[in-house]
Amino acid sequence: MISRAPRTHAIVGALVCVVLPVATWLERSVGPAWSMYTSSASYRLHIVAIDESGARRTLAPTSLCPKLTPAAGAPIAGSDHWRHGELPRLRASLPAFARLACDLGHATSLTVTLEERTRPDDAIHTTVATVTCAP
Amino acid sequence: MNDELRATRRLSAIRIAVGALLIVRTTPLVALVPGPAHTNVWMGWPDGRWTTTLATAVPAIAIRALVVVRTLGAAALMLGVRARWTGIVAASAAIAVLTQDAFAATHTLRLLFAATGLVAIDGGCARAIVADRPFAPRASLGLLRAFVVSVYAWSAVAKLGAEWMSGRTIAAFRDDGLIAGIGARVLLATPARCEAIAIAVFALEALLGPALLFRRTRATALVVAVAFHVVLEIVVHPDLFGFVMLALLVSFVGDDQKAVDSGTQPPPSQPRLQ
Repeated sequence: MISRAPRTHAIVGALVCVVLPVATWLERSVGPAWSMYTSSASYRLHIVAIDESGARRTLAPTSLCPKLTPAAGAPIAGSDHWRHGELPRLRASLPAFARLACDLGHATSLTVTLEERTRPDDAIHTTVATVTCAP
Repeated sequence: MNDELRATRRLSAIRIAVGALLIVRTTPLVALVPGPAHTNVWMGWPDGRWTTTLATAVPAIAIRALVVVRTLGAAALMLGVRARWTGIVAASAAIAVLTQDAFAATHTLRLLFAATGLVAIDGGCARAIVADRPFAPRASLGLLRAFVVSVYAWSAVAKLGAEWMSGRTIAAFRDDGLIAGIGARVLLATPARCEAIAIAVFALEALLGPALLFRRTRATALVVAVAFHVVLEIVVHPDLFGFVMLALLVSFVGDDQKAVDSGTQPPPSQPRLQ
């Protein structure tokens, strides 16, 4: 038991202290490990609904918060203005996120635009998702 | 008291603290904590609301079962009921639940769940209702120390960029209202002061790990680390991050070699030559 222990602890230690943090730095979907308060990234969301008459209406991201988990709602609230931080995985899930807004008002289609930048003076990376709302 | 027993008792104290923090942070008791307002009362309990996942989406009934397992495991860990297994099960269930809400995967929860798994290895051998047999308490204590040092080291590495070192990042947090208090506002009133504070925080985190590892500087480093986390909790309210770090810093309290050095305990016997 004792002779096996140092090897087990060394493996667990290498995994927790080195391998997993390195993995989060390479695959940054949840933010690099232990990089608290160091991100200069910011984001902004635009949601535009088009109704049956073709009229365009801007929806506040905050109006979606009741449909989101508390953890998701906190960074989405007020994101029609630039907010400091990152939105993990939202870029890939933007169409599903856009469909949530279909219930708000009588939209026939919705366009959600996610703007992200890693630093305030960096170029803005834009992702757009347009969905058709079920009648 | 020999080193193994001392390590076992220290690990049990950390286990109780981490188990209590896990229960508080993931159950309705979270209402007692002033910081994390944006959380489910049973953390991760599915209620039909939308989020993105970090892994394959799991059916709601399975997530509910995992939340129950996590909670029972956390209680068993804190009380010391076969803590090695109940703690590892609690940590695994907690991580599985966390993968179902990418937005909830904060540094605090990742730290808390990792600490739960690590402290479970040998934390249940003392002050426990159903105690575990010791596996390797001193190695387990060393593992927790390595983990703490790695957190400071990665945190320092993350601050190496020009954005942090110039003070612009810290100024952005100040402008967002994330850094509270009159003292903080005065300290961060100008770009030059922001830059100075940013460099000081980087230097502190870069030096804390090595200073904690060396016996001569450990006591001073402990005091500085405790003060650092207390100040951060007051100024930026980083959820329960500081509390988890304070619990883990107990692994550095006391000195295994002190008794040997002072002569109150005999040095380890030399191996006999055959």
